[in-house]
Amino acid sequence: MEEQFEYSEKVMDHFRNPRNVGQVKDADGTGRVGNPVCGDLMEITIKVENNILKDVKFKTFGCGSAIATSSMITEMAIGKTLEEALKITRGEVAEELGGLPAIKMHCSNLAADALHAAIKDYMTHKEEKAKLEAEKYDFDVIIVGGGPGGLTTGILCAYRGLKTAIFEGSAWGGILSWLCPGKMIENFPGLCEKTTCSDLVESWMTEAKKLKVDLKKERVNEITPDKKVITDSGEYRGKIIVLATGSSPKSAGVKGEEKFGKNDRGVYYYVRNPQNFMGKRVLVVGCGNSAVDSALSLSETADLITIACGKDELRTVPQKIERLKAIDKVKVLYNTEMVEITGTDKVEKAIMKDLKEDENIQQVVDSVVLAVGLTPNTEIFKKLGLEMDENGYIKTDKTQKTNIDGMYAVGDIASDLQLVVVAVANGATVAHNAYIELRKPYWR
Amino acid sequence: MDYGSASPVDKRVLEAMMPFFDIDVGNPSSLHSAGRKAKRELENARISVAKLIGAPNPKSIIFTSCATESNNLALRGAAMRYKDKGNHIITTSIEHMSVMNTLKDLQGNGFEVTFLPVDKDGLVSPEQVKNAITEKTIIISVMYANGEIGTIQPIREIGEIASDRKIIFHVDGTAACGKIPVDVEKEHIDLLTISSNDLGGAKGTGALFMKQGIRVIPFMLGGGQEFGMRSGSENIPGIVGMGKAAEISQKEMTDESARLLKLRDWLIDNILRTEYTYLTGHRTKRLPNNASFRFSFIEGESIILQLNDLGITASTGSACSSKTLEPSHVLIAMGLRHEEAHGSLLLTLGRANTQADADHVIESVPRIVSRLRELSPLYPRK
Repeated sequence: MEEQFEYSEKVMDHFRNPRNVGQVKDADGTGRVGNPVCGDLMEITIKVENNILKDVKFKTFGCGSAIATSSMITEMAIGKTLEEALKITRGEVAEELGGLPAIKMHCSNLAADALHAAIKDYMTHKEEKAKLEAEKYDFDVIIVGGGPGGLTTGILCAYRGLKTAIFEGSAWGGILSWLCPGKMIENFPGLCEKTTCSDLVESWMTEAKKLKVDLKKERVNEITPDKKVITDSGEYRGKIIVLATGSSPKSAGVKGEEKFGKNDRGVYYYVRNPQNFMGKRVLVVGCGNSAVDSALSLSETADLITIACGKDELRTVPQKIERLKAIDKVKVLYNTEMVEITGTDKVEKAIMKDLKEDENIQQVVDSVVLAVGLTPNTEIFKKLGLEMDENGYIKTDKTQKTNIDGMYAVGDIASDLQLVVVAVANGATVAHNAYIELRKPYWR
Repeated sequence: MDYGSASPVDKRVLEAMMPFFDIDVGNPSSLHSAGRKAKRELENARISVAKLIGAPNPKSIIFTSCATESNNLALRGAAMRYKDKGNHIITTSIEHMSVMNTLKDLQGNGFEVTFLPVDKDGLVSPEQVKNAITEKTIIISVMYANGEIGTIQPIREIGEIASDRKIIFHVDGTAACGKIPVDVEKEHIDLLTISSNDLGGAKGTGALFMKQGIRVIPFMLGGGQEFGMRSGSENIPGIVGMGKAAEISQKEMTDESARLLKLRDWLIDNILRTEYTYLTGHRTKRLPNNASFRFSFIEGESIILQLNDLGITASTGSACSSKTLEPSHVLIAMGLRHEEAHGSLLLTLGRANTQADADHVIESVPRIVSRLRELSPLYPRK
């Protein structure tokens, strides 16, 4: 090409009518470059939206070509992605302008450098902001509750590289540990009823520790809407909070329940250790799975087992009913409601009502097991403003999100199915969505 | 308003020159009538130029091809001629490049050169010169006036010092001759550089006044023209033109300078009303045709291009407009920072400039300056 000495028409046009002069308001990035030898100084400010240069403005101290190249590059850059804009070279700017005099190619053609500097500034700011934001939080995910839902959500979040903590105030494993540790896990494909509850909890714990889940033995007293978790010993902030407080046996609301319900005086809510019922006459109250399970678990130890069911059938799987029928010492009273539990120090008698005959029945008993079902543990969320259904379960969408931004719920507090396999499945859903929410991967 | 860069040839000068291109084409060395006519015109031109600068003897005028050649001949020639007496040369740091570079070249060839600093107005003081003199000083070279900033140096005082100490005094009178009275006798000038174009003559001609008794070693050798100081067939049209221009200058200088001075002051007073605007050079010890400024936060080339769009020609000392990408050494020598030197604007007035031209400039400059400042990242927000 012939050496150029004069400015092209296009250079003069951009010099005379510079485009995009000024500074972008609340700029996302600023690039200032200058060459002290020849004295050109350029400042480019950018506005970025979704990785695209929404606006680019310039201010330039310098000669005609310095102004023209600045003006030209703003036109070239607007609408481009950051990656595309970073590829704009000095040569391309000069070319777009119909060439520049040779002597101007260096000093006065810094516009590309200024643009690149602005983009890099934006990227640095973004990183700093992200870092600062990250520092505000102790964890990516905080899980409140260390039962099946909590532990498995923790494992699956940590598996995806999220910084995860689980808070548990009493027993790891939740209901599986305190209600029925020795029971074989049923209704969990693959486990073939060969694994006890406590074995399963133990393997979850091993896995969680291996994945560096922070397992905190602290009771959570409060959760704030800005995702702060307050425990007995401290405050923690999580970008995402997963509620997994599980469920507890429901109270039956029967007269005498309170009097005998504590200190081993004869009223229980579950059968933790069947040995304690050796040779006893036990009344099990309830129609559901917990009642049937309680009765079955007592078959080796108790002398007599009576089930008082308020409905005209038991609500459980057929094979359990078959097993129950095969046990002689089990008697089922249908359409029978609990009225009162009496005794002096300990339980002595149960008064029931036969609903069909409309008359009270009395039965001498040593223990009463009130297996009337489970209720979700939502007490600590009262102040949060979480939406719940009429039965006290937290409402979630199909990604397990609650109505509060950044809060999820899993397991028994979110599902009346009350199955371990459901809690685990909830954990998988939350881990997936938490990862997308926090890491914003390219594929989403 | 860029007479400093190049001036139009005065119509009367052009008229005087024309016959010597095609009709009177004799060589002054020839003996025929055409040759004799050429010789006569050559000597007449010498007389006119001599008169302009108060030189008593026309033979002290040596025609050259330009002021640059005159400066080269004066400095290099005198240095070589008097090198046995010493090797020290004193000059200023705001000289024309033909002086600067010639002296730098001598510096690399056994000579010592003192480049005197100037003050913020571009002035060098006689005291400074006096203090710089050593036993080895053989030449003092100080420009009469600087074309870029207009500042006029105390030539007479420096001349007296040089004369007392018997040191050759060279003065680059390119920007001054024809604009202000120059008197080589009173000012004790030994060598004076004169440019034809700056007088209103054609380019391609210059002259060197060489006081009688002073000799220099020529570097253009050949037929021995110009008293052996500058061989080569004389550029008769150019020389005739220079003679005519000198003659006109001498006659009209007083009135023309007074007219230009009024325009200059009108420009200066009005343009200085723009904020962050400063005069470069001395306010009063100043060529009548020079109005030079600097504007903070903007760059000279941009100013020049914008002015050009409005039909105004001007110059700048900005690096961006120079081949070397260095800002004007004159502005830097005056203590300006690079970015300050970048915002320079030089207006040099001449015969064709009118009050209307000045008003047009006064109206345009502030507009252009504020427009460019809007673009500048250095301009403070209000």
